[in-house]
Amino acid sequence: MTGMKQDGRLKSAWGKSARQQIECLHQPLHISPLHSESTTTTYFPEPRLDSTSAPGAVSGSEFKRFWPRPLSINQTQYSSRPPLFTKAFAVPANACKSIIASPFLFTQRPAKQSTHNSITITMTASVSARRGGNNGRGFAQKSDATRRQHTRTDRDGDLMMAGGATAAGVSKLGRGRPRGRAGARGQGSASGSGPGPERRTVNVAALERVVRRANDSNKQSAAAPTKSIGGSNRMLQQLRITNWKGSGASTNADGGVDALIKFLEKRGNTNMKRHAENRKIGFTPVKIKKYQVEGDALIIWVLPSEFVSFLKIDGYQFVGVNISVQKVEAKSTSPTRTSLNTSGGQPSSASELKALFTSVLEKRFNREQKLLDLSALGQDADLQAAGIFNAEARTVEKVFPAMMKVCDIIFKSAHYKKENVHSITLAGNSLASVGPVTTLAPTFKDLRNLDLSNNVLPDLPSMEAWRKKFPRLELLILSGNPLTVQVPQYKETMKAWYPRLRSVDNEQIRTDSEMMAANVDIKDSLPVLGPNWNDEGGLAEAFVTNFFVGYDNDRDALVDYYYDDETTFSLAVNSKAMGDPFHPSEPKQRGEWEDYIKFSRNLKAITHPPARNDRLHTGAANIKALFNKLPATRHPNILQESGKWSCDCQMQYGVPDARYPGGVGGFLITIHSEFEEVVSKKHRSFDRTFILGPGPNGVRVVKEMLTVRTYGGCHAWQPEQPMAAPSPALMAATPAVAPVPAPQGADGLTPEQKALVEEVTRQTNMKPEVSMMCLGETDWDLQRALAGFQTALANGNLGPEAFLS
Amino acid sequence: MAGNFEDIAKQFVDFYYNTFDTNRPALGALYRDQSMLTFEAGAVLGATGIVEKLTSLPFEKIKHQIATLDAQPSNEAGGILVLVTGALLIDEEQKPMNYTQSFQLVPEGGSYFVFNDVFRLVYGA
Repeated sequence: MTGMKQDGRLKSAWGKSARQQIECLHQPLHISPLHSESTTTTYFPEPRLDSTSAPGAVSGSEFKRFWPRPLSINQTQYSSRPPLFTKAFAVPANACKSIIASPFLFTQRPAKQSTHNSITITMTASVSARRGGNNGRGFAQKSDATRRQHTRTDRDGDLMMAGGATAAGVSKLGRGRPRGRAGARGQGSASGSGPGPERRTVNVAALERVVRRANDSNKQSAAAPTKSIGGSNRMLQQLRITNWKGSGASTNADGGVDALIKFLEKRGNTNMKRHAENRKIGFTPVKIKKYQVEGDALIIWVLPSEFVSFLKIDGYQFVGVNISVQKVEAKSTSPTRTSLNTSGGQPSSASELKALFTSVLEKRFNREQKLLDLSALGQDADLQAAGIFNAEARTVEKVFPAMMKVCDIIFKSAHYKKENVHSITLAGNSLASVGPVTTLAPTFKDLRNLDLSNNVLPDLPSMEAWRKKFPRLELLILSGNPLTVQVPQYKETMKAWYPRLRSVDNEQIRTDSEMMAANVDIKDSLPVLGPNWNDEGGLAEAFVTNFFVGYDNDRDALVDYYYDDETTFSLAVNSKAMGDPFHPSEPKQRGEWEDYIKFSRNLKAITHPPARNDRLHTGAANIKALFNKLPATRHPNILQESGKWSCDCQMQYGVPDARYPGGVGGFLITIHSEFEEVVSKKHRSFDRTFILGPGPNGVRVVKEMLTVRTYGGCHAWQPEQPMAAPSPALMAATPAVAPVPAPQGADGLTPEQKALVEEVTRQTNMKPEVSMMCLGETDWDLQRALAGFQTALANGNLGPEAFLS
Repeated sequence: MAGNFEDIAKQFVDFYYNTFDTNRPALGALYRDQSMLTFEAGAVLGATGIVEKLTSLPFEKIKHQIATLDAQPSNEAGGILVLVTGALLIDEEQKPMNYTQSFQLVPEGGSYFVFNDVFRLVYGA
């Protein structure tokens, strides 16, 4: 029965391509017997709290009886047994501990790194790595790299560096191959109707890949924990493809690599099919797991079972040339080897390298100008002394990603980088392509000014790896590169690549009005996402953007897209919430909450277990049915009316997933906003909390809870309101507390707004800050503000505290 | 076979707000070093910081009134996701403020601690 359930779940929950991917990459899908016990329905059995004691006092023995396995959250258990996330994020606790520098956005850090944090951080690191490549492969490789660093045992933080060095070795593997992503991108209607620009549409199962890679890596690292790719990755075999450089595809932007990969996979599939037919066995599509260009050769990594299918391609004709496919002895081309470790006198340990890079980077960072000077690295005395740039030219390529890793350490978080590193110069590095430094893009994605002058970039393809990267880039310098002469239209191309680019080589390419239009168009981050939006890879952001559009327009499609048979949903009605004093009153009617109340699972009111169970809706079909019974809605546009939204996101672990008994990484998202009912025109406020896990369309909804409330406005969280002093927010939101001086310039008001506040205050005798709130609510329209005041007054919503004494 | 996570959630919420309203420093026992609090626009990690944050809130008296409470199992570790909406009465203020708070409770040994805590005033008249 369990088997059937799993099978059904997979069929319904995963799109074909995703499923194929999983089967292909994952090999047999292990569903341990344990898992049947770990579905959510049986997962929360009978632990009982003694009502006379604190929640911290559940009887241990009684509790544990119900658990399918020992509770593993307990920290003391944690270190002595495999962590909770055995499948998904099996990383030794002490290894996690070392990755302290991942962009974890919380400002405070406990003295003692806990295992949970570590897990979160690990995931962050992994998903961040995804950004490193612009496609699945790139991500996967770096994830591997990230993982491998875990397998080293250094405890003092040097692992990051080790990972960096490793990443340096493999980073190129995943470059420039968009197909991996496109092939699996979800195409559901919810996404299609979303308002966001392309980059916000749902990414294919990026989380999924994290999990998958982490999982694969567990197996691998368990087999040979400290070897490099070639050695440890016993599952994969390497093939060297040569004699393809002269093909007709070599004029492609990527030199024909992408076309070659496609060709190999296609031919490999044909061979595999034939093989499967001959043997009368099931056919599984072949897939190139990794690849790397080494000079004239392309090295690919494939599963042993697919090896022969690829080897047979030897001598096939690829766009006019007969390519050669040969087996590679794993040792000879291990991509993780860098020249760093091979010659004497050079930094030998990861920690030395890290220290070196840290010191070099710190010297080269101008805090005041927010400028990171990475120019002429080859002439850097420190680096020269360490022998880093003396070696073959390709060393840059290997070292640079490691430097970027160190940047991640020094500059802490994406937010920090965005705020503190506005400009980077890579001038004078003899770059013939941005390939060697491509990791700059994911590391400093919010970069505004980039100087690439005096390199040897010959043409546009040499910059292809950065095409459409740097969404905030405003200024670009390419002078002193051959391409500025050889490609007359390069400025137009740059303009097309970078939506906010204002100036190329000192020429303004966008007018101010164009800039504003660009700003409206891009919105590379939802404005509502506050400082506590701990998203990774834009997954949660994409979800939020799509979700409410889908909920308003096509709930069936939405459910099909994001929900599966395991999703649980419940809603509650808070009819006691107070109305917004500044919103035109909507008279309460009999049966005000009729449409919702019958589904309300307010545990305060619903105490009878069967009634509670009835109101917990499990599975896409049930949720779809329920959604269709709820009134049609219009939510404010999250991009254009961002002030009406409040969104928080935190990373999660152990999110239920049918394929991993220990659960996987995910997000906890909390959203507050409002909607209008299409038919009744009533406004409601709502709170919606999701737990998301990796899914075929980026994420899937694992848990969802909705509370619908009386409309309460949104001024409680609007930071632009002068009332909302930075802290403490409670204080700020209590009008009785702060007797208010007339608003000052410092509060961000324009002179016109100040005048409006004074006018409303004069006419209503309300306190200035209440006037301000009133105006803020009505888009600073005097008449509407005054009307709102009258309404609020008439409804008795304004207490004496709102007025000047 | 009742889903007793609901009762746990209910008891947790009662205990939490009762403690909050009467003895805020004691809330520290409910958090761990890996706990995350999002309080309005600010984020705090770790029990120490969280208690510091909660005890530094500028009011003497506070009373939570829970309006709605819902809970679902949240993760494979036996976590419970709790969504609460309610009202706050602060000091002598007669007009309550609405808030929404999401908790994720995670079992530890035989008990639970608060792993995530996301607090938002949703109506601050």
